[in-house]
Amino acid sequence: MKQRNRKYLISLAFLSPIIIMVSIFFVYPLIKVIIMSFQEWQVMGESRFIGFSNYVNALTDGEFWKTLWNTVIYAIIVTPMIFIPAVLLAIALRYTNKSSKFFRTIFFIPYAISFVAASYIWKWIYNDMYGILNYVLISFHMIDNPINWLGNTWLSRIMVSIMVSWKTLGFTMIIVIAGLQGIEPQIYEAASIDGAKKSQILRYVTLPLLKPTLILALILSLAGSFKAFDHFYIMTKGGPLKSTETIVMYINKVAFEYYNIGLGSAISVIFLIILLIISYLQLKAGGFNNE
Amino acid sequence: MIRKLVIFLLIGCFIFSSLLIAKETIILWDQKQETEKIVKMFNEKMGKEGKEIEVKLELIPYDQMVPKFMASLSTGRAPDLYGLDIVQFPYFISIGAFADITEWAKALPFFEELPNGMIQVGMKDNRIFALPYQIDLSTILWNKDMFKEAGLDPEQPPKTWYELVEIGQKLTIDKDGDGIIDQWGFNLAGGGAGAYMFWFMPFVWGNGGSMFDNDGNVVLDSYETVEALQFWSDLIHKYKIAPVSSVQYGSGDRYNAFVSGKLAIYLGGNFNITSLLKDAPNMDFGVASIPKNRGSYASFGGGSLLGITSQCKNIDAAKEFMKFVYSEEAQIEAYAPDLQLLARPSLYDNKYYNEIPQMEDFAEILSTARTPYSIKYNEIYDPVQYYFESVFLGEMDAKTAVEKCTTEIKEILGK
Repeated sequence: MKQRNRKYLISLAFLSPIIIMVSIFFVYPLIKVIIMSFQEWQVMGESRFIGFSNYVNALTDGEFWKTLWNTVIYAIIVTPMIFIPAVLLAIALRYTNKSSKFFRTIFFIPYAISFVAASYIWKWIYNDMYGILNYVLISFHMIDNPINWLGNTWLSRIMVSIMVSWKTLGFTMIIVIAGLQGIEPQIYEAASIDGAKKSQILRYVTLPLLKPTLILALILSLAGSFKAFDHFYIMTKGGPLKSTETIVMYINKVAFEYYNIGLGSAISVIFLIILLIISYLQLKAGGFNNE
Repeated sequence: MIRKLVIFLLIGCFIFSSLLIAKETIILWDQKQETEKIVKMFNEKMGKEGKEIEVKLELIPYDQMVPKFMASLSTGRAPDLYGLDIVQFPYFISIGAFADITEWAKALPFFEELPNGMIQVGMKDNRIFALPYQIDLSTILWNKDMFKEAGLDPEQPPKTWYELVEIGQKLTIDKDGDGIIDQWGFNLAGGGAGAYMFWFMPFVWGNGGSMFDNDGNVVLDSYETVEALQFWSDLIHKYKIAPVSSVQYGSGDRYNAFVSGKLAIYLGGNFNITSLLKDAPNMDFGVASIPKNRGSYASFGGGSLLGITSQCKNIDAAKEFMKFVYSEEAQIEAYAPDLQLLARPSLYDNKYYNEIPQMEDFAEILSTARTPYSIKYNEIYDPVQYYFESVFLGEMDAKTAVEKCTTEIKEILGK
């Protein structure tokens, strides 16, 4: 019993730094946000509890649904734009040799740039007066007049998604490569000996064994796209006509521009629940509940 | 040995605590790095005069100014002094975040010369809570070389809407004849409602319109506003002197276009002068008031006000610093070298401004500065951006947009 207690205390001692960190930076703020979501929060003076009023206001607010819809559309566009090329690149670069290391580094570099810097770079690239994209397309006679890439509802969503794909696919690619390297080579050998073609190996060996990694990459990618803020804030400011205003931008606006922390907290909690449901469904689809 | 150590520790604690007690530290929050200079000057002055006051500056990034202030107020840890964005003041004054400095401010010898339009934003019920501090004015800037190339008088910027169109058309040029405009005469100031307020409202004021009357009633729904909105739309679609993409351009986009020689007349402000002198040292440019129509010249009085927060621990020390900020010594030696606009127009005739021809008209432009007052200013942004942008993109007519925008602003203010 003494021995067990000692082991327990030692393991707790090792875990305590991370427990303290998570408690301070995640658990406490989360509890605080949930409490504030039930309050008419006052910057100065006593805040008072108002039940579910903030939640009712959020759910009956047209702007909440509009920004949520904008976010969903963006997630639907950007997720395959990150995920598909990342998986293809990972499969192409799974073997460790000099050239694949070089290309892995090349594809990973944009991930090291901050979203803020990347957004400004691509805003320049897309500019119709001095941007290089229009210049190149006009030089090759592919278009006659410069295109206002961020001036149209759908086009701006796609062009921002291209930037995000460029920036983040390197990270997804690395996760998938790690997953691929975890598959035992003997399994491939056995499949080859059994006469499986390359396409069959990919379909029946690689992808099923890679499923947990793919689900993880998909959850990270989808959660990331739902939390989109910086790039839209810099590249489109939510325009044109609010078509790229995301839910996180709306939370920021309500809480820190309209000074309504209670409502902002309620929207944050609703958004958290939506993200949890999506992640749960993804885990379930990936068969994680059986493990 | 132990006795000696205890005595040594006690002496150390006494010296340390007496140092802490002796100096009165005032915390100042500000967004501009240039303020470091003024703080240094003040602390040196206090040292020389033997006063135990010290100001400690904490720089706050612009987008963190409101969230950090809200958090600090709610926990009772607000700074003593805050140089906050002018448009945020009405709300924070309304919740009691700033101290009343009316009598002290009115007794200042230079009070009368401070820009009245901006002082009004720092007031509530005829009481003063903050004073104009760092000033940003909306203006036009024009490239004189481009004017010369187009056969225009480089010293005559457009003064009226009519001239803006006439001159703008001469400056909008397809240089190589490939059907693509290589140089635009003008750009709209897009990229957010803040930009519309800062650069579009002077067009409304310059046409005799307004957003609020003197009693705070919304009077945006007027012929003057509709006409101004239609004029901006026409600059793109009818007169074709501005690209439609400029509806989305932020300040940086327009600045880059101006610096790279693709734009002749630029909606900017005093804050562009220092960077232009550095980024485009060979460019010959001028600064002037935004063109007007039937109203009078107007500029948006932006920037920040300086106020003593209601959680300030030593109001007298904070006032001492505020007084120093507006002194001739501080204004000229701390702000003027960086070409920051001084809050006291009487000091505009100084050696730093006199070296820069672009600074010569700012005393006059400052006298036309106006700032809309609303405790829900940020919420007004939403309808302003949506409806104004709808007109510029050709999605809605100006009259309908102004009507709907006004209705929504009234609803917001009525909540």
